[in-house]
Amino acid sequence: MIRKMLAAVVAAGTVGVLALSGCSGGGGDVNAQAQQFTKDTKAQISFSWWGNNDRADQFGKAIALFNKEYPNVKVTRSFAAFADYWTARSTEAAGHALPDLMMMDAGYLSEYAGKNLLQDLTPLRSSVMPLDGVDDSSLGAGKVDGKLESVPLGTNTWSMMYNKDLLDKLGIKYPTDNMSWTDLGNFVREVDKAGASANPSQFGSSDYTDGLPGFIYWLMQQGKDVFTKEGKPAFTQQQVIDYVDSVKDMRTGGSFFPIKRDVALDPLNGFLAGQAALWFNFSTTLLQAMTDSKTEHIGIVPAPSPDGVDKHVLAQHPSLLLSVSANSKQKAAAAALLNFLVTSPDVAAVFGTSLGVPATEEGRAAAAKANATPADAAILKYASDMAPETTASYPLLPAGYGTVEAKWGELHQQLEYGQLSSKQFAQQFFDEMSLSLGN
Amino acid sequence: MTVNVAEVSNVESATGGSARSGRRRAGSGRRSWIKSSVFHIFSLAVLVVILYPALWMVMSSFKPSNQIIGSVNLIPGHGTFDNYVKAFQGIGGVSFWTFLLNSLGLAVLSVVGVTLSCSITAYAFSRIRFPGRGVFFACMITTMLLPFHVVIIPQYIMFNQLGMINTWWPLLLGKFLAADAFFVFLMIQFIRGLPRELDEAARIDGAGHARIFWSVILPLMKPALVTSAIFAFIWSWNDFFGPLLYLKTPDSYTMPLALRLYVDQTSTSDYGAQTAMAILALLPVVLFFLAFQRHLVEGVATQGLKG
Repeated sequence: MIRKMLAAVVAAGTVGVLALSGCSGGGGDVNAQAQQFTKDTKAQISFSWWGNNDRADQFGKAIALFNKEYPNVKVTRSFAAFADYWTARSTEAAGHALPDLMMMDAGYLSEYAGKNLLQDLTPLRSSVMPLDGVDDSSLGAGKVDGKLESVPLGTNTWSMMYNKDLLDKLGIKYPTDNMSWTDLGNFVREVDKAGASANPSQFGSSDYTDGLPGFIYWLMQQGKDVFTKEGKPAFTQQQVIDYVDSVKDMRTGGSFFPIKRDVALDPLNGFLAGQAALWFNFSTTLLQAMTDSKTEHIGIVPAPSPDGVDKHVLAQHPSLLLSVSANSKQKAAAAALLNFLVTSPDVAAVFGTSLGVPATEEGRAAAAKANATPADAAILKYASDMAPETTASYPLLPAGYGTVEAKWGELHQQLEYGQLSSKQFAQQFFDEMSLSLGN
Repeated sequence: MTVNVAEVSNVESATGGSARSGRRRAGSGRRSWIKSSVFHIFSLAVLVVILYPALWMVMSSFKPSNQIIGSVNLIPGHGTFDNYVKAFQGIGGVSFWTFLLNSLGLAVLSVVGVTLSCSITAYAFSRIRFPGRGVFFACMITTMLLPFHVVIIPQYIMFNQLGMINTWWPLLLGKFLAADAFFVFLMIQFIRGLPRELDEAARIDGAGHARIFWSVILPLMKPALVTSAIFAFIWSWNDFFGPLLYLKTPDSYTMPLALRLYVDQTSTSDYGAQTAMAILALLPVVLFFLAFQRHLVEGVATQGLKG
């Protein structure tokens, strides 16, 4: 009898604990806060970002600059590596305890906005967060369903990088900014031929259909939609097959950097280890390319277009965004910091282009002048050269995009090893999308 | 890493043992001599395979940062201490010593909490007959079966409501409340192996439970306490997830958190500082293990015999 009663007490206790854990949403009224907020308002806010030790030092400087203008806002910093950052945020999201201001990734934006975890910043633009000098097209990347859920801290564009040292040694001319996919194939074969006698042998490129962003650009260049408004794919399995099969002969014929060597070099790859000439990635990775491949002689041009398409469609892609959390009790102060980080030329001078190309004209000028890293000049030049060609904005990536992009890479590796046919590749990729996208 | 050390010591003792038996059998013919050399060569090969990654890490910490990845060479081309200099500089204005002290503080308090609370709990479970003992015991065992991931979010919400985020409380409270069922269980098994006559003798002399626990059981439990202390220290030292969730400001970060901050796949990575930091993070726990290794084996062995 006693035993039964005790069991009941224990059970009741457990339920009590569970009830305790119920939600407590909240946060203050944004408009009232924004009205009252001045340069002397006292507040304490938390700010989280991902990145390495260098970035931590830079944000330390940026926050010190902010405190010169807003001396009474105390900013508590917190940072972690990218994957750990998102583990911590997703736990906090469950407890409605996200930091006041947080770094946001394009691949996670829809998911966090869809769960109402982020503050719509539109009403704050008339007061604490004017975002002077930021053009509307780049703000578009932070909008979800018409609400300004985040603001790009910097932008980058898809590009093709090449190792000048390697090409010089092999006596091959640099790639140009108006190549077609056929030209690209020929270029790769030319490098392969010249590099075959090197030790270790050098190649033109790894299989360049190995990433989802490349496919997105391929679709955009042909004027096709990528994702629907509901966050579902707007392309077909056949298009995926066509894309990966466009280099089928080169893949099976050994024209690409061998996947075995690529995997052995992880976390680097053939290009970053100085054994392949070309790399396709967003322009801000130029700094990583220079650091890892141990040479500053890295060129950058737009990636080639599909045959018969004579335009680049270089949409700006937000490299990083900033969001104010919906549970924040200090939204005005958090938005003031956001505004400062995005628009202050002094902040741009601290970071250079390591967060992406600064969003304002003054910011870009300041970054060019400060020349914080060897890649800055090249990245800024690429951005301004491509500005006339910059067209449609990058598609809003649906919730679960991060998972899907990782799956593409994983499946593509199996494709390169010959474990999957391109048809199976497309099928399994679609299976993954139906599981992960838009939920 | 600790596993590696243990395996290595096993391999070493195995080779040592066979060397002796090899000598004994040496007179009995050439064949056994060949057999023993083959065994030695095989053991040494296994040793090399097991030790190589650890050795590679140690040697890599002296290589310039851009020569680490993609090279399996042990010998640094241009030996340098830069990586250690960089690691000692700290991260984002927080010094290396802050991370070290945070880790040490948490580990030491964990040890104190675990040995104190778990021994008292274990005494109650094994020596006192109280109503509901069976139910509570079952509950405790059940918590061992629950995967950590199931409780993370409810736990986080609870500690958040209690305003304990960014303090050491969430990481230590459980340790002081005997929430580590593994240690409680280990100690219960140990106490059950102690003869009850000792308690009874103390009781006849007029001792109550507090006295029996403090003066009779606790001194006899030393091997179990040492084992628990070592495990509690190592687990707390290596814990990454708990500090990641509950410690929010850089000056409260522990070593495992700091360790991850040199590598960033979205921009540039400093593999040199990362390996140097890894060595520095490993040192205290390896020293701790080496110092108490004998007790650790002893503690586990005694439980095996008596439990």
